[in-house]
Amino acid sequence: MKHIITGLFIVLVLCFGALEAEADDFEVSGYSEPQYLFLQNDVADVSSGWNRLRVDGKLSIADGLTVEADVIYLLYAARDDLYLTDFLPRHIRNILPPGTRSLFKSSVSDSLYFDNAFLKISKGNVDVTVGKQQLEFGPGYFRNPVNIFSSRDIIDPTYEKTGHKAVRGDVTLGPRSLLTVFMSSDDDLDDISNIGSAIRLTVPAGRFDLSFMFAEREWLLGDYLAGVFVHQQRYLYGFDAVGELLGAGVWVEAQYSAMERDEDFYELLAGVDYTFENRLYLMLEYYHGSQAAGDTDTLTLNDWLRYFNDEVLAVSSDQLYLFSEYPVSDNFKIGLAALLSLNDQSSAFVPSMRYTMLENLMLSIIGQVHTGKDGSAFGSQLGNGALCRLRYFF
Amino acid sequence: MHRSCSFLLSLVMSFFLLLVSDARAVETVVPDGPSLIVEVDTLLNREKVYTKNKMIVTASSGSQRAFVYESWGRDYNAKTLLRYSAPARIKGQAVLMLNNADDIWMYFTRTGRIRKLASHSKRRRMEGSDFSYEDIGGGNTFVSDFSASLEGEHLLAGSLCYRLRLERKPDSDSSYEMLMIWIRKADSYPLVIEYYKDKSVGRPDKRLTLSDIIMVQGVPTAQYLRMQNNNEQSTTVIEIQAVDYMADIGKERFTVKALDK
Repeated sequence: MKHIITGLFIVLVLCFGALEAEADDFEVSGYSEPQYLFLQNDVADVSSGWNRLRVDGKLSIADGLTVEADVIYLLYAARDDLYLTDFLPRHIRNILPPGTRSLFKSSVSDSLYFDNAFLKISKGNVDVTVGKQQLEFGPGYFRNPVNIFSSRDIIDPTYEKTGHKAVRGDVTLGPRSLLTVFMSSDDDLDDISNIGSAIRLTVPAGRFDLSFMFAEREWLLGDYLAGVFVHQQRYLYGFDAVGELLGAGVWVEAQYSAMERDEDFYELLAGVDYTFENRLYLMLEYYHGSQAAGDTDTLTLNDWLRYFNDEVLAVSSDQLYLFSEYPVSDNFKIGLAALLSLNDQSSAFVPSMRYTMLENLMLSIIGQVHTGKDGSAFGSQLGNGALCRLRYFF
Repeated sequence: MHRSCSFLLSLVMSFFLLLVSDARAVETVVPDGPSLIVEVDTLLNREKVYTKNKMIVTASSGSQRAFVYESWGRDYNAKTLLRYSAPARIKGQAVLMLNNADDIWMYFTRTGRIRKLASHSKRRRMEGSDFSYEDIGGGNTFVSDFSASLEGEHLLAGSLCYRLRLERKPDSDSSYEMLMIWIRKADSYPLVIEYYKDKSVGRPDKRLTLSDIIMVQGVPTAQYLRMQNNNEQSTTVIEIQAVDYMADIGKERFTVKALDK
């Protein structure tokens, strides 16, 4: 209730600002997005349909002072409850105690919330951003090991994510140099107990942008057998670089995490991309995580549920991600992504199609097919499905 | 007698001097390719420039898409910033090109993501148009990446023009092997540019026509640019709605962080 009131207040401020400000100081935009998806495996058949309305507002209050916010209204037309345990390997699912399934039920409901809402103050080469905002770091496409505040959907990595409550400062040191510091919390505003923080420095080196990062935040790892979350501090030392070699785009991300209780671990990501003369685009990323399993037959309930809840980036230690996209015409692109585990040779395929039907009307269809044997990193237990998304921009 | 001889001698001397000076004048007027392309570069790449543009892409099917964007250039277009304002789908999306488009960053509004693109992205088409990022943000590429030679004179669009052949230098990463440029003899302003990815084909892949040339703040400026894509039978027109060579464009605009402002 408090959030709705807060949100309405901000909307009122924006509207008031719109009345007071000149037309070009206040901008409103957004999109309406009906979407339908289904996901099936041997025990689950889940489908969901909704309309997502996003309204963006940006108000320039004064020179160097802006307020930006976007509201999401999610209205479900059809929805099935999703039980995470239905997507576990059969040998784990079959030995779960009765009643466990309902503990991992994921229900969705109509919602209205602020995706992002922040005040931005710019003075000279310094920007301060206060509020709910995007925290995007790292050049990786499918994964960002250096970013412990945001995560990606491996099936649809470019989709938007909800912002994070943060106070952030950026100091521009040069055209390609930037110093960023921020403090962030995902707690409710009136009950903030856990604050993460980070400092990140980006500098140029020839054709490369190098970034060095230190971040720390409370890390929750679920012990789902005991039914508790293990709280501990995570200290991340990260490095990433993006540039080009021999005409191809290349990037790396590396992080070492010192854990307060659990064993320290590290992650590496390396990627390359290229656009051919015929406009075919190819990208390849390799991921290695020391905390993930080298032998996926040893994965436990905890390993899988931590993966489903984005507590860990992967279940298998060595993975490849390939993405290709070709513009068939000016407004029609087809793509195919392949996700491969080098540990158990399982794979998933994600075909996609994006069609710009009209100037501001876009249709996207994304499929997923997991071909690995049950229990493998990209095994059949994760299900096959597709989503169809229509987006109208205004 | 003496006076007559002196008069005749001075007459002959004057005539001789006239011939020599006239010959020298003729000699200095004949330009060469390298000097002409430098003049073209100077006209097209001003120290600072702001433009507001409408780009209309017409596909081979006849369907059309329109985009509106602003662009800022500095340091003779070695630095270029583009920001889209229409359609709503890409509003706020921005592209920063530094070092004559050798370094490119793209900003996506809704995710707040800034992505650095490799130089192979230069050959990517801007929003599916017939202009690549290389075409728009190349800066002094005519001088730095090509060797120019003067091939002759032609009458084109009612103007006497020089025709220049630009051959790609061995160490260049331009996607064009050759360019043919017709420039007005009067002021070296280009009227037509033909782009060849493979000069052995004999037909240009693209042909750019610049027209509606007016003087803006003392600089000849085409208001209408039409790119014909001969491979895909599509065209893209850029209508320059506003241009300002005196705009206050600070270098702070051309930073990676400024992309999200």
